[in-house]
Amino acid sequence: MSEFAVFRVLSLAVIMVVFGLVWFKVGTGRLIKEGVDESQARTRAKKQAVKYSIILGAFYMVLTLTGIFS
Amino acid sequence: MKMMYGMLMALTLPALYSIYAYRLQALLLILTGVISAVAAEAIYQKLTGQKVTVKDGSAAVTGLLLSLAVSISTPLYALGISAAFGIIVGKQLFGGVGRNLFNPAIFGRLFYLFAFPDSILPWRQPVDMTTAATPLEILREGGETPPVLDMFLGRIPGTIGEISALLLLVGVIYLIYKGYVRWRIPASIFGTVLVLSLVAGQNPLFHFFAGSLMLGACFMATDPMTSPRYPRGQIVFGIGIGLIIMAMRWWGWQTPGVYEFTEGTTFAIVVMNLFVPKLNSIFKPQRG
Repeated sequence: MSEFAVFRVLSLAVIMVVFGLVWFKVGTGRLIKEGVDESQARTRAKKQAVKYSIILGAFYMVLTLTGIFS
Repeated sequence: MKMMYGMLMALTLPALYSIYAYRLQALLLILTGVISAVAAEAIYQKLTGQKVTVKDGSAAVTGLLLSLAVSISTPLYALGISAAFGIIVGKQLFGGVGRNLFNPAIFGRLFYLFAFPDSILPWRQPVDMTTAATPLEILREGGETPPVLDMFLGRIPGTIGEISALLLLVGVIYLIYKGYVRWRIPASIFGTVLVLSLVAGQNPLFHFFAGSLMLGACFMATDPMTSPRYPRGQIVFGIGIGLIIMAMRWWGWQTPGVYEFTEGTTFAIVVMNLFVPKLNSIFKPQRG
């Protein structure tokens, strides 16, 4: 695996993980404020965080490949 | 499960032809793709305490489709990692079959293009294995494109499973006959490409048989889990894919050096996969 590939994969992983964690944190807080039970709020926020971080990852890959980030 | 095994059956001829055309390396790529995808699914499900469902054949289909969508120059580890990524990130993290937003094979292919773009080259001619440019690259460079018949029969370089349009067509006809694929999707993709090619004064058959269009339109875009449920949604989905493919083919040729890929099928299907939930809600038939 070339350095270039490692850098790309790491950048993708960092973007997805950071976005997922932020989404989870914000989402959990919002759901709790809405009156949802804490454990249920965490489960729901986690599902959403995973989904949207994968979507973001897909966008990041498409935009990188099409030259938007180069 | 029946559908997945039908899919494997439909992909057998292109897979056998790729082994004939590219010998042992093609066989190794196919085995790597299938084993990596199945192993990734089994390991993930085992680790997360789920029931292991590899016998349903969906992971094997993902691995086979992905291996048919890579160049013969691809290192085995690049394919193995991409197959595992497609299965785990593209399918299992969403909750498994039926809950995934993206087709795992196309998601794995997107990752392959993203992480290992250099591993695609050089493209090689089938059988004699000489280095050669793909028809889309030739078109971009303004050279003389190969005869459409050669493209149809599989005498052109390309990813190992997309070189023979004829065998892919045989496979998809079998799937349509069995009722395993939604025919409106490939029909609307080909229809859009036909219209746009004619408008641009280009040979539509060239566009049908070049790049990943045949493999993507017939086998990846038609995935029942990641394509629209209702007929009108399927048509809009197919038109969207056709538009993006042609836009990216033209865009690539018009800005050489900026955009190095000459094919947009992967991007088109990934982007349109995102709209599937919306298309399902817009085109849901009204009761009464």
